Amino acid sequence: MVSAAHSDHGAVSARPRASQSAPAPGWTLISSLKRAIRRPEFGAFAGMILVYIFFAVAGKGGFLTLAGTANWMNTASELGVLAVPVGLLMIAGEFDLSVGSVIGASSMIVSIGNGLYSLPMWIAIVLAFVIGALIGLANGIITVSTRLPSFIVTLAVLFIVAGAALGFSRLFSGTTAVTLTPEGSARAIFGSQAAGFHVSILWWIAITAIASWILTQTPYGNWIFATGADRNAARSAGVPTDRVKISLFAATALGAVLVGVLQTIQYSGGDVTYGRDFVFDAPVAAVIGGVLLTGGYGSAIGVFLGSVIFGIVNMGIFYTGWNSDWAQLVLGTLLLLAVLGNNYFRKLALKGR
Amino acid sequence: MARVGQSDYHAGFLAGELFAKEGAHHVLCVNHAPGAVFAEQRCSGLADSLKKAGGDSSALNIPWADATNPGKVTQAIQGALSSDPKIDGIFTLGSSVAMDAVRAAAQQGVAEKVKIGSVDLSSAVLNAIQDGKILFAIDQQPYLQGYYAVAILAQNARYGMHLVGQVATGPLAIDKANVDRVLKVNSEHHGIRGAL
Repeated sequence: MVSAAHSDHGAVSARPRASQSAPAPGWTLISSLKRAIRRPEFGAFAGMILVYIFFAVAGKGGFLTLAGTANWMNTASELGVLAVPVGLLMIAGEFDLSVGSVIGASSMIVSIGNGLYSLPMWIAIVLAFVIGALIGLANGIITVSTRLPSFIVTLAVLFIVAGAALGFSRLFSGTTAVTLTPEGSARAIFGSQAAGFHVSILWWIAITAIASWILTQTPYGNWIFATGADRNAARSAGVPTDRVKISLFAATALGAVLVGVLQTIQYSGGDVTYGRDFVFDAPVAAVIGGVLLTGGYGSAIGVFLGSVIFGIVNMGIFYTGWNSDWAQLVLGTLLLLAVLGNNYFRKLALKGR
Repeated sequence: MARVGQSDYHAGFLAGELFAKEGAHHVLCVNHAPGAVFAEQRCSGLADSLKKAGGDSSALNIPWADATNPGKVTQAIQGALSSDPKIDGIFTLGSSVAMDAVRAAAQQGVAEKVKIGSVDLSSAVLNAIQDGKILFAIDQQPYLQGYYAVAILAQNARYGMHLVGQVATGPLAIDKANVDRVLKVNSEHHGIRGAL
């Protein structure tokens, strides 16, 4: 029994609890409010409202316009597409830093394959996903079979893939950045936009919905929580923890490839340096969204909100007109406050159980 | 021994003159490598030259890791354009950021008003100059930097001779007047005039 693994070791399932008994009339509002506060994503939700109000006031009006909204949503969506699978992996107790160079590698596979060697766009894209999946499987298999910390394993793979991407790019194209003019169905699916809003926003919402469903409605979702909360207890309860981890490593790598493909087609070209900012931004978004660094706790909606917060803070700062020398100081401070707030609400949630 | 290269301060200074000539006096310097000497010198050259022409410039610093994300760079420039409507020129310090600036100006709906100039060439930048989307690109002729550095060293090794002081390979302005020739060379000899 998976749920046994939870209660035996005092670990927490992030699934919302159904109310045990029917509340007395009049108390419905208060109790549903209480229940909302105890959800793992409530802290992130409160943080999102706070940073939104902050930049709505400080952003000189530009932040609130349609273009300003598209602006932070585009940034949040590219981050979220990756942060959601990274968040799931973190709930299962592992890290993946290699995503940073997988993004650059996949952007070069697509842009060199299609742009220089005239492969059909879809074949180049499928090739990128296949190679990405192999990298993810390698991360997973090395991590579970050696029992080394995935932080180190995937950091090594980050360098290996970055070096391989640079070397092969130079070998095949003589350069490290290739311009592309994507057309047809691939352009529509990965690179279209409406009123400045990129199609990546739809991918972000879809991936969050699927991840949330998996996490809360399927046995596999329960296995993810169990694996991250206490691996040994989960194993003795019959959870295939190795398979859970390996499949999640593959999922984060595929998420990284998706970001690479989205960027390559949206911005008409590949570059080996794409993705460097995701190495820490993705886990940071997950943590802001309420995922515990130690595993066993979190939600997909929370990570979604975490990427919203990151997008708002990251881009909102440029609407303030403040000297951009200070931008990272403000970014760091707001992120720290967001995590502190989250921590507070999580403690409330755990006390109430 | 000689140094073969471009004075980054003068590259920025020339950019300021080119902007002022086209009527752009409030130029945003998009610094994608804050703290790096080459980037600071280009932005300060631009600032000094615009000041001389009666204008001014402001810096937009993009953190190093974010500078590899074309989406973030584009959106940061859009944010700056939105917060300061006086901006009528964008100076970028690299060819990929130049294309981000083109996208940002278009999405912000100010492509007509805001002039864009950059340092360094790529085929995308050269095409944009031809299409009138970029006003100019400053070429430091990196191919010559490699070529002459080796030639000087070879002559020094063989005969003990060498050039003295600064051998300037730039700044050389590429604009609509001379872009066709550069594009032709770029398509025939990859890497000699501009990146792919």
